Amino acid sequence: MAVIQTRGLTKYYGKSRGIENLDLTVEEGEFFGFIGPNGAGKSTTIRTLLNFIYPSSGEAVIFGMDCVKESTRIKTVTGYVPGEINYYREIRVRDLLRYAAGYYESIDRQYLERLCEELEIEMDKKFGALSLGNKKKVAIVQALMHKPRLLILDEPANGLDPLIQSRLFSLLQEVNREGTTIFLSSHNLAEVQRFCHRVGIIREGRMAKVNRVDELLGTAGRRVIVKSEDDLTASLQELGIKEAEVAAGTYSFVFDGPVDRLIKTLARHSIHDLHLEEPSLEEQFMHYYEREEEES
Amino acid sequence: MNLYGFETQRLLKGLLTWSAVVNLLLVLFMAFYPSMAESGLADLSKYKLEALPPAVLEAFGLNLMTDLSDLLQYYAYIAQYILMAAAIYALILGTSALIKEEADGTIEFLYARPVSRLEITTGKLLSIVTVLWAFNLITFGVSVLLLHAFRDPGYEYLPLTLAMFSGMLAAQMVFLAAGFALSTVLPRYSNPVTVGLGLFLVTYLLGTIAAVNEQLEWLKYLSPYHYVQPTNVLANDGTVEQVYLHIMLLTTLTAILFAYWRYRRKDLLV
Repeated sequence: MAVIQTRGLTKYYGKSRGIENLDLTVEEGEFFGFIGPNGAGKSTTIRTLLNFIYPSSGEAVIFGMDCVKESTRIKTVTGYVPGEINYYREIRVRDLLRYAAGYYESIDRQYLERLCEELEIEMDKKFGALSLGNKKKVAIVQALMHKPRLLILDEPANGLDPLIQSRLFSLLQEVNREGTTIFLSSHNLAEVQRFCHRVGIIREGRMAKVNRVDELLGTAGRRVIVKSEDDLTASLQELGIKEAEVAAGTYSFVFDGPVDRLIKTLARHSIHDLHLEEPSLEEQFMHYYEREEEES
Repeated sequence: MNLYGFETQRLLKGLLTWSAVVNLLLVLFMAFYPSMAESGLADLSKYKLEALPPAVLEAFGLNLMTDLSDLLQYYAYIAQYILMAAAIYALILGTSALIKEEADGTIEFLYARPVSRLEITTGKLLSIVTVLWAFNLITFGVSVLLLHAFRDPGYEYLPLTLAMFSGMLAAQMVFLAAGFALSTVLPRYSNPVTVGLGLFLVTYLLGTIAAVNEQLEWLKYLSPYHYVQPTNVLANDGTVEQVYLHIMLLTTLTAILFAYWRYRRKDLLV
């Protein structure tokens, strides 16, 4: 079942383009990465989905409910973590969370307490007095408190230190395993690569490509660096490698076949050192963007 | 109700500050009344008033018939300043109601909740109305206490004071509603205090011009302040002209309806 579905979704701000004919489908239970450079339309898409802004044309549906007409109902099952968190500065965190909880019919108190404990929320401080990381943590609690079936995050890791980032993502993985669909907008490709099942690349307001992360990476191949005194040319040919850089007994090439075959073929030789580089989404992404730019 | 409670609570500090300042000034002014009531001083002030051109007197809500040694007339004169403060407060309350959350970005918190635009508009409107009425109730209470303390035995003041306050509240509702409507159209970084002060002063000035210049008398319709100027209400035995009452009711309702209509389809840009 599709959790998010948009058809020809378009938003113009006056004459300037926000998004154009955006078609997007996110399936139930997915951890979906929504990537693209600044100004590509990521935030516009999210704000349209949540009805902060009204679409110029096209439609968006969440859990089968219309994003404009049934926005209130959508929000009973959706959580949102904004990119920049500006909540009521003069309000204590405890009161802020109580206020947020007041909007839902039922809140699992124990779950809420557990969340606050796990994230070490400072309940008695005023929101404005919190550091960026701690504000983000409060935002995550308010987005999860009602056990949403869909969680939308707009660049959640921005400005967080690595420790909090890793905590954030392990929490996201946990709720995702329990069945919550996650829609994560980001321009940090490493995090998308690590956590997302599928990615959608948005470019100048349009969906440029949607693919499984492993498929996207599978086509990229691994960079292999081998040091050996033997002549590897024949073996490399056997592996189907056409281009290899060779310098002082060091072979460097891209291999997109099974790793097992690579190792077993190389094992015939005496190897000093072997280095396999993970394919990176970033390379793919850059590659993709550059190609698009050449074409246009 | 959740939203209404939260919003009202957030306005409480402002309510206390405004009430404290306005009522402190009220007490201070009223403390001068006993010396004003002494006949010698009353005559003196009358001479001074006569020395001023009638137009200037009019602008200050005074005329040669004004007898500042009379408790209610003295109070009505002071009440003009209360009305000014209250009108500005009403404008600020109205103008900040919807726009402040957009300027501060806190609206992202609210819009992520299952609450409709309609409910947001209603909750916020009810909370500013509550706060404005509370402000008036407090000021009315203090006024009654002061009048009661300074009155001569048997001096009746309650019905006319109530009439002055009703008029003042009606004008404040116009300002509140106008500010509320503005709150849906102003650019989000507008300063509600500047807008409120500016708008009040413009209408006040127009009303004053109308009072001193017969050719521009029609301008008086643009100043709700002058509809219900306490000195006039007192001089008219506690009544406000019908036409003014109708204008106030109509503007208040129109402005509120406009705000509902506009906010329902507004794009929120953070």
